[in-house]
Amino acid sequence: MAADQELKIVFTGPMGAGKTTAIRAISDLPPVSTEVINSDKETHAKSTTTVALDYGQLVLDGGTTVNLYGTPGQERFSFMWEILCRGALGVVLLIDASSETAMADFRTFIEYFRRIRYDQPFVIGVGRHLSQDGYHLEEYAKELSTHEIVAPLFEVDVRHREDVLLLVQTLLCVLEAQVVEASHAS
Amino acid sequence: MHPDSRRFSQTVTNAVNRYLSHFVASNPAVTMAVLTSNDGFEIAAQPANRASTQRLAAMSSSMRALSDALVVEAGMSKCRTLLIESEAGAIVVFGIANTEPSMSLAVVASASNPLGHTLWACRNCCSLLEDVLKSG
Amino acid sequence: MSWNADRKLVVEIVTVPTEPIPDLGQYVLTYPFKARQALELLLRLETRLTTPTDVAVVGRGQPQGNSPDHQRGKWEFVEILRTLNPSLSQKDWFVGQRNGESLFWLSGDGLTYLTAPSTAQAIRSGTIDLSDVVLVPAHGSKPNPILRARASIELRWFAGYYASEQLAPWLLSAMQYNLTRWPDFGAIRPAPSQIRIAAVLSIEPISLSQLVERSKSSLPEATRTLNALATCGALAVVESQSVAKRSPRKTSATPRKGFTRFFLEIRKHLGLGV
Repeated sequence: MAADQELKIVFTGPMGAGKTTAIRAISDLPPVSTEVINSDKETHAKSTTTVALDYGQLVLDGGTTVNLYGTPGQERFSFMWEILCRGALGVVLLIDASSETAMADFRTFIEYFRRIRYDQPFVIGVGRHLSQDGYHLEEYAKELSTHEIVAPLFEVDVRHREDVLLLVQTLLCVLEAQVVEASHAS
Repeated sequence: MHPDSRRFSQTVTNAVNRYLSHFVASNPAVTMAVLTSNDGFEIAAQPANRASTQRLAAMSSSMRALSDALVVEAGMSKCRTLLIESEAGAIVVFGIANTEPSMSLAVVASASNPLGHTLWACRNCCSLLEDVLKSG
Repeated sequence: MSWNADRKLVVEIVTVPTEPIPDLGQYVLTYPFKARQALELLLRLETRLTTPTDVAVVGRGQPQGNSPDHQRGKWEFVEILRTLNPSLSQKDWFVGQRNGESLFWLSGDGLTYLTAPSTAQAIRSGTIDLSDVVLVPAHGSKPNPILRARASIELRWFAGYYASEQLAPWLLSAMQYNLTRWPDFGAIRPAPSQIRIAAVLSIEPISLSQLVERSKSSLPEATRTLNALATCGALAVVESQSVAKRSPRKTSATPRKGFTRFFLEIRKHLGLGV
């Protein structure tokens, strides 16, 4: 039976941040992946990299399909970011805090996605903190404040389904609040 | 220059560039040819030193990967060639067989020559590149 | 005067008086004043705040009954958290004590706290009364290394949430509120209704009554969540008349059967609760 309507949620973030893992955690079907061998181990040690997109799906009872897209993480594939975000209900940005370039990546993605659509619902999950070192989310919060962005910013582990659900639930709540605001304004 | 091009000797790299240069020169319809790693890096290109060839490398690798996924989804074995036709010409992405790491040749051709002729020339070029890269 | 009794710093700004004003405190600015005078006062305050004291803030004995003082007593510990100056390093510690018993360790930078899992669970469930907890400088002592570091936002959130069903003393129902930052819900794990309340507050400044309506929550839940957000430093308070109307945001794709049905279906599908 053909899907009644297709909607989408986009997972983005730098390489190795957990986009594929997050989609796999909630997708109804095994995600389609476009991973190939990573030939640039100097930049990132991961053995594979996504070059087009990851694709998962939620098929709701009423016939609505929600497509889950994961973007490639590297900036040379940034043309895919805009293509995939068009018409999306919202964006989940995942950051790998253990990466040396974590803050630079954070800045890159924040600036890019705010430029595409400043009011698109946007939630941020930061993972792989070194908890012995203390609490580091404050650095990311300060960076958001510098950009005058108020967006959900949570410490998560996307290997745990409940953490991915927290991000999606928050995205839905922000979208819902926008819809309610729009209905009050009209 | 992409790290993978350093994996090959200077002799091999020079040969690759020569073959690409000859291929573009002897096929007037071909406006651009890029040898690409599967993860989107430009290994060699004609014309050389253009930002557009780097973008073509990244985009063609994305298209190739999507094609691979589509072919698997359709129950076929593996994508060999990807063809995109437009009014002004065509873009073709050929997999280079038996290379490590995997590579593709992305070719942009105008409509001034029949498409079949361009495809034939591309396949010949791919065979030559395959031989050179295997020996490197 | 009660603020002074609690050893909270008070800055008084007065206009040029025609009569002498008795009982002025030590931090006074007389309007009109020069910027240099304000800066000098701020430097004096900074010196005062960064000077270690024997006890960070000591609560008064708990008043009894339903009096305003009793209500205020519920907020003692929350006030301590709100006014704690995080100027110490991460390696310095405060000990949270109640009736002489140590409940937790709070880092000097205010970002992490350490406690036993059972105490953390009691804090999260509200089964422990935090209102008479005091913070005592550890003076070089270190916590037990087996205790796991937890985000202090969890302590702040639940201290504010469970303090009272009434609005916190520094919040007024006549004002409007706006979220200035999201607390780390990854550490807090709030209920879905609380996430929804925070989301509504993130869109534009609204009053408590509007918040109840738009978040489809109860008044007690909205009030407690507002208190928790304020305790976490995530709220701005604005005067109603100063809020300019903003053009509504456009949503992108619209489900054919409408958003209401879509939200119900996707939440049910993912087991998210309403």
